Formats: sequence, structure tokens, C-alpha cells
Amino acid sequence: MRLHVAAKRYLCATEADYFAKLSPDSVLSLSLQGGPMSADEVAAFRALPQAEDAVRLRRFDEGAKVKGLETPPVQHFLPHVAACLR
Amino acid sequence: MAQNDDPRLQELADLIDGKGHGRYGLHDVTQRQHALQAAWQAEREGCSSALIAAALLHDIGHLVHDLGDNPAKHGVDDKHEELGQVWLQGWFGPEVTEPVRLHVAAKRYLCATEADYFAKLSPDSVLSLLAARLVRP
Repeated sequence: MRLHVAAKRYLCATEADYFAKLSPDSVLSLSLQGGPMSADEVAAFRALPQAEDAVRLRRFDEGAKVKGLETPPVQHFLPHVAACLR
Repeated sequence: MAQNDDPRLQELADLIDGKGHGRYGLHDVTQRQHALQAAWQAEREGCSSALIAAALLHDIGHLVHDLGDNPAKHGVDDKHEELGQVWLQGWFGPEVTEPVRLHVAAKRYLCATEADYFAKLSPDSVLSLLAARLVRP
């Protein structure tokens, strides 16, 4: 039940047309169906060598949805990729 | 380290440029823009090349399967992070493939450990999280 307040805040922040498609029940049930990790899962996740990088990547993922934001092209990033190819 | 003319680089670039024109989830950005915006954030934050590469390639699983732009909307968990990891693991080590594999788990991790993270999630992230839990109870 910890997240039901967060779920309400989520609903308030949701755009009107999404609101229409997504019933409040379905969002609330998300918190009840164990969307977030359990304490055991959290501990297991933290023990993984790349957990910290995975969390950083997650934040880049969440931030990479900006309409109209210009970036360098794919070619710009390929030297980084080349440095990692085996 | 591979040379900058390694043909695998062009293959990856062609995937992102050629197949990345589909819409990213419910957002007004394409898969290509999503990949580039993620990589650019990583670069600007001074991350390692491995994490910049992981950011660029984290949704490659979406580009190598054909389940549409937003399978979570239909209750389908595409497990794109696992597809991506399998696709990448012949070419890259765990410093690239593990963050890719774990980036969906990281969402569930952050929902559990940061009180306001869930409130900030976009609607399609919530839907895909729900689909992930239905498929992987």
C-alpha cells in the first residue's frame, strides 16, 4: 500500500488523453501486483556488478523522450562503440 | 579494441538509422531519437565508453524484433532487454550487455527504492512494468 499515494500523484500528473485510456483501478492495481521489487529482489539486484550502471542507464532511458531535442548523429557515438567491440 | 572501420559499426548504425524510425512507445520521439538522446546524456555526464555504448544500444532489442512500437499497450511484455543482450553479447562484454539486460529491472528497483520514482514514470513505462509483472510474477 506504500505506493497508493504515489499512484494518485501519478494519475494527477498524467495527460488527459492517457487518463481516459487508463482506468484508475489499473494503475492502482499496479502497486498491488508488486510492480516494485521486493526487499530480496532489491538486495539481489544491488549485488550485481553492473547494477549501478544499469540504474544510470535507466535514468538516461527515462530522460531520452524529449520531442524535438537535437543530438549528434549515430556516427558521433561510434568511436565509443568501437572501443567496446571484442 | 575494434578499428573505426569495423563493419559491425556500420551494421549497428544502419539498424538505428534504418529501423529506428518507428515511434518510441507513446512518445513523440522515434526509436532513433531515443537511442541518440540516451547516448548523448551519457556522454555529457562523462560516462565510460561502455555506458555510452549501452545507452545507444539499450533498446536494440526493439529493433531486432517486430512486435510493433508499444507492445505493453497490448499487455505484451516483449522482453526486449533480453533480446538486446542476446543480440549484443557476441560483440560486447558484460560492461555493455549487463546494463542493457538490467535496464528494465532497474525500473522495478527504482520503484522500490525511491519514493517519488513511480510518480515520475511515463504512462507507457507503467504499462510495460505491469506487463513485466504479469509475465514474470
